[in-house]
Parts: sequence; C-alpha cells; structure tokens
Amino acid sequence: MKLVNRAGRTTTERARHRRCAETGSSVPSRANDDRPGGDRAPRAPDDTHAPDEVTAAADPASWVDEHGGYLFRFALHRVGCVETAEDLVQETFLAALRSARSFEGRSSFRTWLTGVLRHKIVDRMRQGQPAADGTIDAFERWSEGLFKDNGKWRRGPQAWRPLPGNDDERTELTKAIENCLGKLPPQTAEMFVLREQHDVPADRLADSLGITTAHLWVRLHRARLALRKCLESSWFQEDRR
Amino acid sequence: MSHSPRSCRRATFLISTSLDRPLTRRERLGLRIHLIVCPACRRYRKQVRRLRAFIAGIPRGGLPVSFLKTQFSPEARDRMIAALQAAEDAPGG
Repeated sequence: MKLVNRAGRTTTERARHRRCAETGSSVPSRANDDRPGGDRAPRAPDDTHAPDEVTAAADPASWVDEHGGYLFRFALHRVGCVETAEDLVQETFLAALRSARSFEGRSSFRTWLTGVLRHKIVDRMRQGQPAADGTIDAFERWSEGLFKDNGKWRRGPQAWRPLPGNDDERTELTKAIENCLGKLPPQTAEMFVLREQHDVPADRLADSLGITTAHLWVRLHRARLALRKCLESSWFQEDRR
Repeated sequence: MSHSPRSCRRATFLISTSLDRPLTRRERLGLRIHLIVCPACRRYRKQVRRLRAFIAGIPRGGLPVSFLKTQFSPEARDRMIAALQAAEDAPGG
C-alpha cells in the first residue's frame, strides 16, 4: 500500500538508511525562554512585519546566537533531524555571508535569513536526501495502520474505567500520559502539550512552529490517536485491576 | 486517505480537528451521520474529550513543555561560528 501524506509525498519511499535519530526527552529543555506563546514568538517568514531589527548585525558570528535558535527550530520542524537541521543552518549563514549585499532591508534580517534557509531545505530535498526523520515516518505509518484499507478501525477503542477520582490516581495517570507522550516524536509531543495543557490557539501554534495549520491538525490528530491507544493499554483498561 | 463518510479514519480526524478549529457545516454533518452508525467512533470521541479535559486540568509544570531538542549543541554553535569567521577571513569573502 502506498500512503500519500498531505504534502503529496509518498511515505513508503522515504528515509530508510538514516542514522539521524532524535535524542528527544533525554535532552534538558532550554526552550522556556522562547516557546510559542511568549510575546516574541517567531513569526511566519512571509510576515513582513516581523518584530526584530531591520538590520544585519555587523559581526556575522553574532548571527549564530541571535538567529541560530530560530532557524534551527524552523529547519528541524521540516527535516525532523537534528544533524541535518544544524547543517542547513550553517549553510544558511555561509550563504548569507556571501550574499549579504542582496539583503535590501525591505524585510527584517531574520525574515531574509529564513528565506535563504527555505531554499536550502528545498535544495536538500531535491538532492534526494531524506526529508524527514525515521521516527516521524514510522509514527505516520503506525497511525495509518490503526485503520484498514477501507477506513474502518482495525481494533476499535475498548471500554475504559472512569477517570481518576483521587489525587494519587491523578498523579499516576499524569505519569502515564507523560510516559506515553515520550513515545511520540518529540516535536509532536511538544505541540500536543502546548495545545492541550497550555491551550495555545492552533493558528498561533502553527505560526510559531513554522508549519501550516493543516499540517498541525494532522499532527495533533496522530498524537491523540497514539496517546489514546497507549493509555488504553497502560492505564485505562477496565480489567487492569 | 479515504474520504468516504463511512471511514473511521476520516471520522477520527474530524473528531480531533473539531478540538482545534470549528468544523465546516459539511464536515459536521458528515461526522454526525458517521457517529450515528459507528459506536467505535462515538467511544473514540468520548475518550478523546475526557483526555483533553483531564490534561487541561493538570497543573502547570505537571507535564514537560518540551520533548524536543530546541537548541543546537554547543559543538554545532562553535562549528558555525568558526565556519563564519573562516569564510569572512577568506580572501575575496
């Protein structure tokens, strides 16, 4: 069976021989100062009213700290692979250095850099290098596999025992949720938590992650399918105790 | 992806998406018809809603915000700075 995702790419022919695994939950978070919902949330690259300075810093080495994190996340959400994203950001800076004169100040410097990065990402995909990390592909295939070819459930949801009434059980279920989220691709888990626990509006979340809202809906959908399924076996099954 | 109104794959997507944006009339209607005949998807909707309510009630900090590596490594940072400086110093650069 051949699956075509929303971007029109077939998932069967992508990325097998790659060793670019996410390190995910074991990495301590440094995201807190720059997460979606902050008042300096990164803007969509097309947005000409981006909030940062409309100047290129004199010292290119300072670009790394100033714009590197933003560009890295932008790339990571598209290529799904830390090493590839780092490479792309470096290539972007070098290309920017070579052609800094073509930056005309009509948009912010960051917006311009993001445009350069976009081209790098497209080039990379054209070269036939894997566009997405194996974990995302595998996850996509897994969630598709919950349904038969005719769209019906392979095994429908089972009956659940009630939600916990006391604090101990609540803590236990929260742990189970965290555990199940840890099995998702990290980007997917992150967007799920921001959406569901922090109630970040979907359009703002998509904007800050640099993906389309349509893509976000699909990813959240897969996260819900997976979380429900995982919790069913780890916590909710009625005959568990 | 099957878009048949009989498709549970489609119905679960709509159930999920209804939590993120209002469905169109057409989507709402299609979903409603599916749910009338599909107990499995009715159960799915109920469980997903229960999960959402539970998760929304978890105190801040109860779940990690980030499962994602959101910053490149210090090594990558040093590499980038070195590469930029080298390119800058290169003749004709």
